[in-house]
Amino acid sequence: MTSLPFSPAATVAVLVFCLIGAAACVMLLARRKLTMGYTLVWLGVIAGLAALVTVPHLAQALTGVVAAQSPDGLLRLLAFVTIVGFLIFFSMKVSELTQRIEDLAQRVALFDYEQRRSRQKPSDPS
Amino acid sequence: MQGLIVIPAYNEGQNIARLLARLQATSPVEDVVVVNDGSRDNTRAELERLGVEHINHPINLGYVRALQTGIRYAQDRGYDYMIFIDGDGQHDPAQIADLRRVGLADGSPEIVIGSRFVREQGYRAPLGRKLGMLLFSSLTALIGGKRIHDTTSGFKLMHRRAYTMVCEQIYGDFHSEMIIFSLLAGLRIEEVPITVAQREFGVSMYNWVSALLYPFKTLLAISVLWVEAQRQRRLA
Repeated sequence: MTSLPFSPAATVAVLVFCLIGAAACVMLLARRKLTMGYTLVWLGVIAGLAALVTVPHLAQALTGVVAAQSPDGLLRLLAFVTIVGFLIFFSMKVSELTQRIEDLAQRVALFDYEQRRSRQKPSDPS
Repeated sequence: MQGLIVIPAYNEGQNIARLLARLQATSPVEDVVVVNDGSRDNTRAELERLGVEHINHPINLGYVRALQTGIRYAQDRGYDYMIFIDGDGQHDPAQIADLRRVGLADGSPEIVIGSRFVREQGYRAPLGRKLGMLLFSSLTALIGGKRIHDTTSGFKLMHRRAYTMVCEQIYGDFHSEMIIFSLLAGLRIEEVPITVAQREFGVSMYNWVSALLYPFKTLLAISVLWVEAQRQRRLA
């Protein structure tokens, strides 16, 4: 029988975290706090994390590839969560700025069009 | 009823003059506006030379934003319906009459799509694209309740109610997710058969990366829009 790389409790905790994370990403997309591109990236990261804890031997194989010691503990988990939190925060900020720039560019284009039209109209002699 | 033809164009300097000449030859009853999406070639110069109404994005915003600019232009001026036709010259402007015939009749649907697949037209797509189209065509039937054969056609007629409703709901490529959203929101959609020519000049907006991401983006957009469509249906 193949065994999972982490304890059942840890596996469940990580999977719950992944589900909440995925739902949060979709909700942020729906509220336009995150662009489609970033949402797909984060869903890919979450899918990778879920695979890491559920696919037998995957975690060990990757640990071996980077020549690390066994997966360790609370400190790394906290560091990971902090970094992820910051990255999501900055993804949201970049998404918001992207949306604003695109909206602004559209408004500029339409304004420029109106300006050209008013310049083309013959001036009223009276 | 007053209509507007919107032509999104990105680096179509070699195609746009011929397309506009073909369009003019059909004596359209609609106004025409080209949305130049931050082209880096001579598209803008061509549009100014031809004296056609055009809006210039200062930077490239993408196909969907170009359509949205056209929609905002139409909303500001109160057009009753819009017709979208791609700027690469693959759509035959003479077939606008077919869109009008179905879209402006009594009791017409809110959206009419020019379809390459509703009747055998000899159009050949690569296998990957065929499978993708089959998938999303099936999804329109499964989720929206009506099979739309050509979910990626850029040749469409939309009445004001439809274009107003979809304007702010843009998440993906304005393809299957827009169609499914419209069906779920209670809009009626019909297809008319059209023929599509091969692109002569310029480059398609899709590359292998965008083709790979397309199904994921579209499925994600559909899931988000499903909720909004229910809300629009309750408001109607």
